Amino acid sequence: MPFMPFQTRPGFYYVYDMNKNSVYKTDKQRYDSLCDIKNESNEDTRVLSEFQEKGLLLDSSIERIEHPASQLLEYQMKRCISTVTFQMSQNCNLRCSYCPYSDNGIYDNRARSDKNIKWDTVQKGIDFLIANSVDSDNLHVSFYGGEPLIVKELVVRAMRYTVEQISGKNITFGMTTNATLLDHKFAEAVKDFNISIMVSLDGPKEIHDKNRSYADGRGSFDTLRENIMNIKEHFPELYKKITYNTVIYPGTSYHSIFEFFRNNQDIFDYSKVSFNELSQNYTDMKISYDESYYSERNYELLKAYLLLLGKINNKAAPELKGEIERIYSYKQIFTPQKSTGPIAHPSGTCVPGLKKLFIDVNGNFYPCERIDENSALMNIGSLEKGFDIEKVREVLNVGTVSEEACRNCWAFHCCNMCPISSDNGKDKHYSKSYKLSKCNNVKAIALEKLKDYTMLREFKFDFNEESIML
Amino acid sequence: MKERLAIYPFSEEAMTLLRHQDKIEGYDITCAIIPKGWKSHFDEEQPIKCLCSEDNFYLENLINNIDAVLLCKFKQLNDMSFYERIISAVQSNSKQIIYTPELESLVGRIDADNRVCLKPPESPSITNNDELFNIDVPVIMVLGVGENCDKLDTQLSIYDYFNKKGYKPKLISSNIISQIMGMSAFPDCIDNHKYTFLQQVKIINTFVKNIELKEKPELIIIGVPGGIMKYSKAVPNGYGYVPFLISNAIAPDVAVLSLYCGDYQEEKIKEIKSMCYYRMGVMANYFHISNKTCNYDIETKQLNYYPVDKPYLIENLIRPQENIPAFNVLDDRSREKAFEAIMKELQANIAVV
Repeated sequence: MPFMPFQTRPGFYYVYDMNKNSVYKTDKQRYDSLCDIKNESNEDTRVLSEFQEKGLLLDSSIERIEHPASQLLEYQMKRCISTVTFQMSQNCNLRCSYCPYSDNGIYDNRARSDKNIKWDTVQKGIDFLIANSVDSDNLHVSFYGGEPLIVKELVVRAMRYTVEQISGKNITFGMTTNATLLDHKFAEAVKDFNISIMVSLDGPKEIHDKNRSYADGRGSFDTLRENIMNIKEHFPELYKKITYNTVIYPGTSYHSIFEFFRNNQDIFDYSKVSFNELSQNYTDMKISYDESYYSERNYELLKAYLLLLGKINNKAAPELKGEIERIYSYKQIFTPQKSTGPIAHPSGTCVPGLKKLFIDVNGNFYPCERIDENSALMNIGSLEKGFDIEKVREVLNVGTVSEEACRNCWAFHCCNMCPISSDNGKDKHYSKSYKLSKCNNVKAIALEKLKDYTMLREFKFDFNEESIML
Repeated sequence: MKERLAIYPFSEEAMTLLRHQDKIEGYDITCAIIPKGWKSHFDEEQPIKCLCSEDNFYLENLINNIDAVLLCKFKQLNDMSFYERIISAVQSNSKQIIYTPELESLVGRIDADNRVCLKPPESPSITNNDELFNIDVPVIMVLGVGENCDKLDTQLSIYDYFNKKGYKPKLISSNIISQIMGMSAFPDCIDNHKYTFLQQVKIINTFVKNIELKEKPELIIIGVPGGIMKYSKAVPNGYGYVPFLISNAIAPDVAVLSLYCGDYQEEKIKEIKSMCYYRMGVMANYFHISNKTCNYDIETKQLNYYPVDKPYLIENLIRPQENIPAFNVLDDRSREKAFEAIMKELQANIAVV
């Protein structure tokens, strides 16, 4: 049944209607009755009928699962690509404890090798982007690894080549790096390009060095800090475009990570830090975080709520930027609609290769940089052959493998299952059982978002993004 | 002897100018300059001979082979430095430049004798009387659901059809650049906030009446700028203000609505018709289905447009929907059928005295 009764606080009862992607306020008696129906513990459907007579909480109207981009997919892929991410190297100068390239036994989606990308591959990749982006006004070229700065001269050459080949479009660049090779010479070479650099920084020296060390066991924090300080001093505009990706490893002192960023804002701008848990994809290992982690994160989230509701001073806003952006995204997710059409697809998936086309060192195409390079399913083409449109269509329509379950799922419009999270890396096609095994977790996350969204609405928060200046 | 005209930058949006270049008064398009990284192949039945890459234009000094440059401003172009090189080339070679008003600040340095600005006509003066004039010749109104759905091509095709049938049509176009083809554009009151809504309606009504009286056309085709409704809360599309304004000023005899590429079910068409009728008082009975589709990009918060190819459009979207009646300007069969129906409908109208 595509509805979900829920509470935000004691005395506040609601039901979410998937067909209309809408939340209705109700009372305890109705809430209890709907819960019973949902749990199949009561056959009395009078309350449900009462809703249904008003056109609410109806059975799913979805007849077929198909992504709306399917029909014109080949035209879109021919003309609207906007981003390519190059795997510049499969090598890295660090051996981070949780990185797939470190062969640490956690992930099996990647293996470290000494292979670097060739210039010919980069050039063809940029040419492919240009040829397939006629209708894109904003183009983005990104550099990923291993560690992309192992081939820093190729990174600079690629940027130069891109701007030489295109005029009249907005061109931006991006790079994800451990920053140990982010030296003065490189900064000098790229300072005039519109480049954003995401630095992997896990927190204070003792935590960072524990996870992010060189092959000989030395920590990388000091070099990273020195390089960032140098950029701040000599290339202030480039410094402004540095962001941080912080991977929180289970069991680390979360408090000290958050405190580190709070206390070192002069160099590591807290508003530019993105905190991430270890990925649950492409691993058989159970990754779990303890209570102290969630209490720290929830504390930050609580502050974001209080700030948005005007209960605390908005001077705290920059450090809460990430949380606030996440809260604003709820508005997009829970925008009411008149009805759900007969042909629809669960939310959560983007068009593979359209926004984040990942090109590996061999010139193979994948939906994004988070994929399993060994997955036959995720290989959606190559520079040599172009897009395999039927493969792109299959990867895009991730909902079809679990069609029956998806059609009747209450979380249809707030699902966050993407191709990556639905791929086990082993099968040639999506595995229904693997995908369904993840549904409980997805629904739990969706329910939390739903509750948070509704609670903010209770407090008359209007989700007007312009009302707060970060 | 016609002057030789170059178009910069040349893209699919400028294809309309090429398709209708016979209407460009005093100029032949001899050079269509494609900027670096833009599309250089067009799905036209006949190869386009005048295409030229930006690099070749400068390397081979092709500026010497032209007399004038038509500078186009596309919506997505925000970096005005993009135009610097061509403007400098035009200036140093004393060529003529034709441009739209939004590029005025860039071309201001060029000698006034060599500059032609495609300005909108001035608003006519109006009386204090609120009553609107009746337009006594048939009016075909071409509206669009949004930007980029081939309204200009549709207007020009209707113009051609009636012209060839021996009528004397007049086109007041949605696109200011069509003035280079001898068409009219809407007066400047549309974007001028000093006028009230009532005054804007009156000005447009008077403007069209003046054309009727002075030029004595047998048919007036009105291309309505912008889209008839908002796309979403994030993309207001002008809230359909201009179409509302123009449809209040002029009541059309026939309305053609241009839709984005798609498979429209009967229910959807009914909904669109009702929306047009109750919002603007316009009964849209003919539907142009553009080859462009439109997607909202949640990251950039912009609409993206991309076309499908002609065979796909005709086979999968036009043929099954010809009964709506739907047509596409690039498809001879559906276009002729729709225009013939429009002509018959107008011919069957009885003049009310």
